[in-house]
Amino acid sequence: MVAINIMPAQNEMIPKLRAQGKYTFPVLVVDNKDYARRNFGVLAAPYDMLLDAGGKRAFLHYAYPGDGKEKEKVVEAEIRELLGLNPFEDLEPDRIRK
Amino acid sequence: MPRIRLIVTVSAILAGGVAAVTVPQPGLSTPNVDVSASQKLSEAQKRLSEIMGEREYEARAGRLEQFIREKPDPASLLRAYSSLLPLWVSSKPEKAITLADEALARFPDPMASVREIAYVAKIQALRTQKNEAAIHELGLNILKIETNPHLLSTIAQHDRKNNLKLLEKAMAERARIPASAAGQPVMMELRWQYALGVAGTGRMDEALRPASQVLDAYEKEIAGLEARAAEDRIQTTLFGMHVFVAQKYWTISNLCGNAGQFDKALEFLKISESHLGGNRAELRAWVEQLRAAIFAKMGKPDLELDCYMKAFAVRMDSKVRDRIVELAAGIGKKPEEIFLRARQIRKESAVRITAFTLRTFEGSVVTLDSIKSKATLLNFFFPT
Repeated sequence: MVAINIMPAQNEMIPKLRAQGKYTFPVLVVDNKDYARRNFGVLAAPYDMLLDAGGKRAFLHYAYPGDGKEKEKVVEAEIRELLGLNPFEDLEPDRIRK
Repeated sequence: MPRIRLIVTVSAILAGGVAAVTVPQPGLSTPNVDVSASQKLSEAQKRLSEIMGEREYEARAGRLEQFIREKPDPASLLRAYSSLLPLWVSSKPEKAITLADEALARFPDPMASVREIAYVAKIQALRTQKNEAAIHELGLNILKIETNPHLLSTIAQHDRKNNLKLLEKAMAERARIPASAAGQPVMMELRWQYALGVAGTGRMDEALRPASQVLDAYEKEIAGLEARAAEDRIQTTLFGMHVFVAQKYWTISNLCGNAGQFDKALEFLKISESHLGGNRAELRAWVEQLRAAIFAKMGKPDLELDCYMKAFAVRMDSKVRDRIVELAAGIGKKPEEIFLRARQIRKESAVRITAFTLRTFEGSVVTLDSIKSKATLLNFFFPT
């Protein structure tokens, strides 16, 4: 996982945030508040993209209505799919892959 | 060198021979205020913050109640009522009702936000007690005495029986105050709520009139923004507006579908989809699932299955997966083939993102190529 702070004015808050959350993933910074919009179409956060091995966007999570836990399950299924695992293994082993 | 302290005294002659007013000059002196009152206020706010940090629910509720009995300043009191009332609505409804009445008596100003919080808490507490008759009666009383449009529209959401009457009054009261009034709902949103309320009574055709007026107004707003799309600030607003309006078309499509007006439902859904565009990929699954539900009501399992397949292609939801398995079995198709098709669509529509070279906060260089792995989650955020 890689995070990108889209608000350069808040860069100074990154170390504290990382320490509080014990995050180990890299947090990238940008020098312009329009960078994420111009380059990735990001106009609001949080906004998550899942990239495949070729650097292609396999999944985009933004503003989907509903329950947070359900959303987490979907993102987990999407990650498992990209890793070549059964996306729903905990629900029903091997049903889809077979 | 001592700080210059300039104090202008308006004599007792100007003040009718009674008071002397001291006016501190900005930048030159510290305000000549009642230190004890200011200290009390600061202490009350500090104490309230400590109470709010109390993790144990019962202890927090008890301390909040005690804090209220100490009669603190109005701002702290408002915060305390707002925090305590929701804590009690399900566990101690009778106490919540008493406290709500007390808050209403203490804050008689019709525009005081605590009145709305108190009414909502009272309704929720009455609902816990399963006293629908009292809720209806309270709704009628609110309708009679309250004039704050925001309050009226909020109560409308909690009191289904008086919903339309409350919204009618909210719209009438809203029309009396300036469109730019802070903290008040915009008229279009009140109309939208009203349309949904009418739809809820089963009068879909009647509901479509105000709903269409609202949608037309938003379309015009979007057209105006599109004309200025080159401006950076407008881009962000425009993006939000498209998603916002897409949600409205989705909602009205859903209501039409429920009312058996399938053609209209599909038509509205198509417009919703057009507002989402290509960049809101996951939301397309949300549209496809509603389309599937409409086809289900129309008794068209083939089309329903096709929609769920498209939804699965952009969003791997286990419920959608289950529905595909069920539907495929029902019409003699192999679910594996459906999932294979979904994966093909997923593969075909995956686009390579813009290559980037950025630095971490600590200064290390990171490029797209350097982070590529089987799966990489790229999270865009900001710290606050």
